[in-house]
Amino acid sequence: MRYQETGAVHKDFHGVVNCTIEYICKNFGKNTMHEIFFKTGRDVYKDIREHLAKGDSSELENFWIYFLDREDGEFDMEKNNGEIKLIVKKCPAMEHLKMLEIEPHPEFCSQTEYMNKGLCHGTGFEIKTVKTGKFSCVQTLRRKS
Amino acid sequence: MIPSDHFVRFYNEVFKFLDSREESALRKYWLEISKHQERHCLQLFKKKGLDGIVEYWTHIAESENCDMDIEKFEDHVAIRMNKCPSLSKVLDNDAEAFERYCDHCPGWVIPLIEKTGMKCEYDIMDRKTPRCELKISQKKLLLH
Repeated sequence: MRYQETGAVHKDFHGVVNCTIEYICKNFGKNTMHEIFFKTGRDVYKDIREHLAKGDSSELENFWIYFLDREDGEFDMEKNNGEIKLIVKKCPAMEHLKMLEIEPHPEFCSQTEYMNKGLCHGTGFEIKTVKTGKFSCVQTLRRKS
Repeated sequence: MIPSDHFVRFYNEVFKFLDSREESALRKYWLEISKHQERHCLQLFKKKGLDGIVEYWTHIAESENCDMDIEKFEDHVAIRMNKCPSLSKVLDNDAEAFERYCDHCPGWVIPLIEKTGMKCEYDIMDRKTPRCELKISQKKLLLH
């Protein structure tokens, strides 16, 4: 994996993400926030995107598993007919905001949706991101038809 | 979810966007971050002064994996960051690093410290090397 961090995990950064979303949405609008998340997905995770472009989803799978494990997220992964489903049962970011007593901004989960769009940009893949509850979502990677 | 480990690379993207918009946008954003950070340390600093500074940065050194020396003197605390994990990650990044990335730290820390009646001075040294120093002092009362 391109970025494989070790050592302590500083989950308070999820609070700073929420604060950033509030600030950007209030001053520049939610479309701008989506654009920044998209660029983060596309540019910071260039390595995952390039693997996807070659038809290799293993880097994305490793990324999902490694970082959700590091943050004690509860999740499953299912592979069926060329689709990979990441089923997040307990999102560690939302859990940590709850612990900090911070109300998540309505756009908080758009970080996942728009980062995913950036990750897949120009690769022939897409990720459908569906929120299934306050702390849960399903992200499905599939080839674009 | 942006992993906590990767937050600083997202932060770097936010800085690039804000810097492209207007001159004061970054400063205003860092003030917002400063207000957010008050929840983590303002009362600690007000209550314990320099001891609170040592306590907070000791926690940060552990939770953010910093190679950092913290030394308390009678009237100030000296913090030497030997290897900043934040700038290190931003430099080890497939996206371009924002050239004034380091400025976010004094951008939120100084306004917060000033609310406690203490004074904070930064020496960034070199924005391409993950090292810096800061000194946080008790303000001296001027007697006339």
